[in-house]
Amino acid sequence: MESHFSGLHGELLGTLYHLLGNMEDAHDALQETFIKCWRHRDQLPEIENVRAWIFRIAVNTGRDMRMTAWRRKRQALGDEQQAVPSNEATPAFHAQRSEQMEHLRIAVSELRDEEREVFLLRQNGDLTYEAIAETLSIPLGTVKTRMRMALTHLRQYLAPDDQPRKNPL
Amino acid sequence: MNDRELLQQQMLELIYGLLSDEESAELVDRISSDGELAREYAELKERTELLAEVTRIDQPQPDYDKWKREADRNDDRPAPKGAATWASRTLQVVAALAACLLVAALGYPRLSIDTEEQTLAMAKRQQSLANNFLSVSVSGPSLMAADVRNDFYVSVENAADEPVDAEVEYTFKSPEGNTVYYGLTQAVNGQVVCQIPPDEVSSAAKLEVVAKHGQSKSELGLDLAVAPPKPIAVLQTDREMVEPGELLNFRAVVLDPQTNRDQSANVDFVWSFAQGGPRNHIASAERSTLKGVAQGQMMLPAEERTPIVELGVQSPQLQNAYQQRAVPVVDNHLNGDDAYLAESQRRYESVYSNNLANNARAALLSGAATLPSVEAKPEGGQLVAGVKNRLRYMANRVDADQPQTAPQLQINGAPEAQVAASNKPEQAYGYFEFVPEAMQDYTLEVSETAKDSIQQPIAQALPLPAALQINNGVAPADQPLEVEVRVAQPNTTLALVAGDDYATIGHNVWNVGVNAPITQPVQLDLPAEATGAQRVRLYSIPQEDSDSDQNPQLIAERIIYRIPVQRYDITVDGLPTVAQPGQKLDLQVAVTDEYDSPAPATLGVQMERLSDVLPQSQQPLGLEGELFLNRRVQVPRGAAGMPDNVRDLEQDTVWFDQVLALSSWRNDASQVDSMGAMAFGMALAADTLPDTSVDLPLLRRSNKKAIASDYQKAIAALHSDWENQLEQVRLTSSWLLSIAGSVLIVCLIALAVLQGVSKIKVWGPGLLVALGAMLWGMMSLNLSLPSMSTTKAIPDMVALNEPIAKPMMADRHDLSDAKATIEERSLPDGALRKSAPKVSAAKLLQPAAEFQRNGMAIEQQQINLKQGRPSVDNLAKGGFGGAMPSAGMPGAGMPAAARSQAPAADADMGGIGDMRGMGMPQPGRGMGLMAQPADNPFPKESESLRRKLLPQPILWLPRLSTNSDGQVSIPVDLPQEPGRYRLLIDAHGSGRIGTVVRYIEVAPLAVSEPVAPASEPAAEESP
Repeated sequence: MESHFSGLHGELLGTLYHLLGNMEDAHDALQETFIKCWRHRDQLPEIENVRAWIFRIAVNTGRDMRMTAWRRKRQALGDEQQAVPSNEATPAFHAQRSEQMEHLRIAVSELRDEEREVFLLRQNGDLTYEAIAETLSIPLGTVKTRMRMALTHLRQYLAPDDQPRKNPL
Repeated sequence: MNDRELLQQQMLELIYGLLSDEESAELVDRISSDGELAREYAELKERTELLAEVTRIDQPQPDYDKWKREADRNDDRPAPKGAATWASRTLQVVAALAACLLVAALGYPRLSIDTEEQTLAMAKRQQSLANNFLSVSVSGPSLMAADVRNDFYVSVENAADEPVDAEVEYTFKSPEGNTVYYGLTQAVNGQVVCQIPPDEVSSAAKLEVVAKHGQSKSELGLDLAVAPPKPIAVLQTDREMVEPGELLNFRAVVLDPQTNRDQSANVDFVWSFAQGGPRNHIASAERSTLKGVAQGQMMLPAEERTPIVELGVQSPQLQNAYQQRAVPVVDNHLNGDDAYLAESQRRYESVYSNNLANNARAALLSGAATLPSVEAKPEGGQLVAGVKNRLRYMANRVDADQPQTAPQLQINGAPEAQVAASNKPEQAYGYFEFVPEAMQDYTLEVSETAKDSIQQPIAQALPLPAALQINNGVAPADQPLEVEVRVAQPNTTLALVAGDDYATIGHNVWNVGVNAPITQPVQLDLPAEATGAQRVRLYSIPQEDSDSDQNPQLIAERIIYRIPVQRYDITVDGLPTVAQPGQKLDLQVAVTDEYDSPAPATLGVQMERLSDVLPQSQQPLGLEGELFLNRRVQVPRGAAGMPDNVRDLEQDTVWFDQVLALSSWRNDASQVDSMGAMAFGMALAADTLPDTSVDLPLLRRSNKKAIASDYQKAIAALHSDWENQLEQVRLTSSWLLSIAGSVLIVCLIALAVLQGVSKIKVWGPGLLVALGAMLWGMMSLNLSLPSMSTTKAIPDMVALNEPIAKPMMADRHDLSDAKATIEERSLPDGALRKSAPKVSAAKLLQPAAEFQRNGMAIEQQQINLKQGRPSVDNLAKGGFGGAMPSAGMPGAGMPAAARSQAPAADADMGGIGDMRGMGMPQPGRGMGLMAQPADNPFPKESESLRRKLLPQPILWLPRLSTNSDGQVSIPVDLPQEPGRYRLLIDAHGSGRIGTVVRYIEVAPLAVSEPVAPASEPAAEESP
């Protein structure tokens, strides 16, 4: 169980962070997810896709926390920006890259919740669309539609731009 | 989206695996072939990798061991959360169940109770229940006639008043409870007749009727009263008028009035001079009957100057405890032929006035009316408004020599009256039919040619329920009596009763229905044994199930005559119509029955020379005349002229019927008038309706009210049961609502605690619904709780299966109580009170002495029982004068002038001569023993006048038996006295009687006729 979580730590934390909107709740959710999985570790041998199982518990935990913690205001991602470590070494590269990442982070945050769930499960969980449909208990077509919608929105930030894009912030 | 953007979108989908394999291959080929596109794809790929970095947060691995420990340390944390889940789930399940229960509680009353279906089912059950309750109603004679068949009508109905063709089992029982007669029959249209044969009537004291139909059964028991055999005595004398010092022979024939069989009885003959005076026993007379006959003789004191002698026979064994016959006495002390003749005629008239022929009376009475007389009377006695009435009349002509000039009759006030008329030489008779109006005066006007008219007022038409019309008033006794009842008022119960004053021989009781006016034919199947004149009366009686205090009302009465089927025919051979004086005759008398077979019988023979100057009696003579008609019927004055043989009267049925319709019933004062006959008779005589109600000579019993009460109780129990079921359903529903609501409330409150306010949309409405349901249930429960105590008590009133068993139990185990209840219930009906055994016994067994001690009873008794016909005026009079039925006749009673003349006449009276030469009965031939008459101390001047005046008996055989072939020979020596002689022979025995009247003219040879005036003194001189 610990090895599974170790391998998926970044993806799980990122997913929960983008689902909940702040790092503190993301950590709590991650802990809660681990505890749930740990308590059901006896079922692990019977689970075919452990990755999908862990992501499903994480998404459900994130949903529950998002519902029960509805009163919490979503904090600005900028507050968390310093908390996100960077792997770049050079300052110029770092600045450019940070800017791009910031744009993408904003783009992800602008996704609707259901689109974001599908995108994150695909992006971070690397789940097939069938597994996503099973995890979210929605039809496969709905999963793909939500994914296309998410990509359409993200394309504005991902595609090479010929003219400078307006910074939404 | 332009092509470039579309291409970028496709490349993104290619990167994220959204494209299919074909799309992917096509796009890859395009990218490979286009350098710009490949560069752009590479750049897009790079940025998606950057996006992967953005979505993935690389932070140091957490301390999983710490999380594990925390998970292990807080291992109990999930447990409370699991218990909460379990509790939540449990609460949800319980709440769901409670909700289901709530829905069921709401739907339970609607699903379990279909009002329309229940109403139909209730109607069916009521109908079915009605068939389980049979009621039995019995009507019969309150006093059964002994020795004749008696009928009891039984009607069986269910509780819905519908006739039921039940199996009816009836048992006549003796006082000891032994079965006397048993019958089993099937009711048709709910009606059945229970008959008891003549031989068993006297033994019957109870009637038990059991009606069965399916599983239903109803019993009714009633006490019966039987009229004990009470014979009557017919008193006969050998002469119509007696002279002082003469020997008067008499006999009494004691017969059963219903069966005509002779009866044994101890009798006592008495005589007196005045009504109410001391009665002198005739010691020499027989004291008991032999072959139904007791005979004797008495010598009238020679010095006696009473105008009348009353001969009587008395016995407590007789129905008419005291029977008397008045015989006029000739006054021998009068001086002068005219005075002697006039006084004798007056005395004769005083006794036989109503029996005289009309012309004879007119000839007798100087100054008689010159106008025609008329008798008129509605059939039944009263004019009934609104229906067709038959007004019968009988008009006597003054001038009988002109029969072609029929009197003209009309009813003033009824313009369209129809006349059905017939004519006799002296009479016109017939009837009118018209519909009178209420309280309208009508007058019958009679006018004869060249004469003034007379008017006979008719009573006003009254608003009575019905009028009576009898179609065969004179008919053989084995034919049913056919009656038409013209109903004027609907919804009336009528009773038609036939019988005499003593017992009821037939009846019918019916409801006339709702249609009126209407004519309803009624047939009475009377026993053939009941013969002669009978009275048919129509009563209006209260409804059987009514609670009103209305008493039976006598609304019509009519006399009928039942021609005996069983009777003797007497033939007399050897009696010529004309004979010579002193001729010896040998009469051969033969008696045969109705089959023309010889029948032995006991004869009574009387022969006398009729008076030349006295009017002849004009009414049926002999046993038949007395027993069948004279004793019972008071014929109208205008009916004088009846044949002296009742069989001749029977031949002229139309006229006889007319006479009966105009007649009134002769009330027998020897009985207590328990049936109100006397009151009605008096009322009829006065032409007024009796305003007092009368007792019904019928016995009516019914368990209808008791059955109806039980049926109502059963219906109430049925309804109560249904209400209980409804209440039970409502109660159950209320309890379910309360319980389910309460449980739901608890569950939802618990869920609210567990789930928080965020789930208020789930548990909030449910909580409200549950709260409402619980309050509703509690309220309805509270409302139904008080009613539970009342509805619970109703089923205890009666069980559903009780009505079937209850009457049986009541009759079997507590019959006396049941009877008492029925009698108490029937108190308004006077007849029912009459039928109480004690009362009946007291009336039936009351000795004759009781009546004799009653002054009024004795007066009426004597008046009614004497030979002459009484009138209403006589009833009001007392003393000797009142006893003489001479109302309206000049010189009625004993005039003071005649009494004052008597002493003066004594000195002039001469001897009357020896009577031995007057053809007195000869001893030694079975005749009554006659003492030698004393010498007449009052000789008359003219013996011829005496001979002309006095009827002289020449033959008196009071008890003569025939041989086994019904034959007997009677030698007769005709006297020398010429004149008209009458032979009267009565025969009785074996329940049959017969009478024959024959005449013979005794006259000298024809050669002497031219010198008849001269031969008369010669005849007087002959001894």
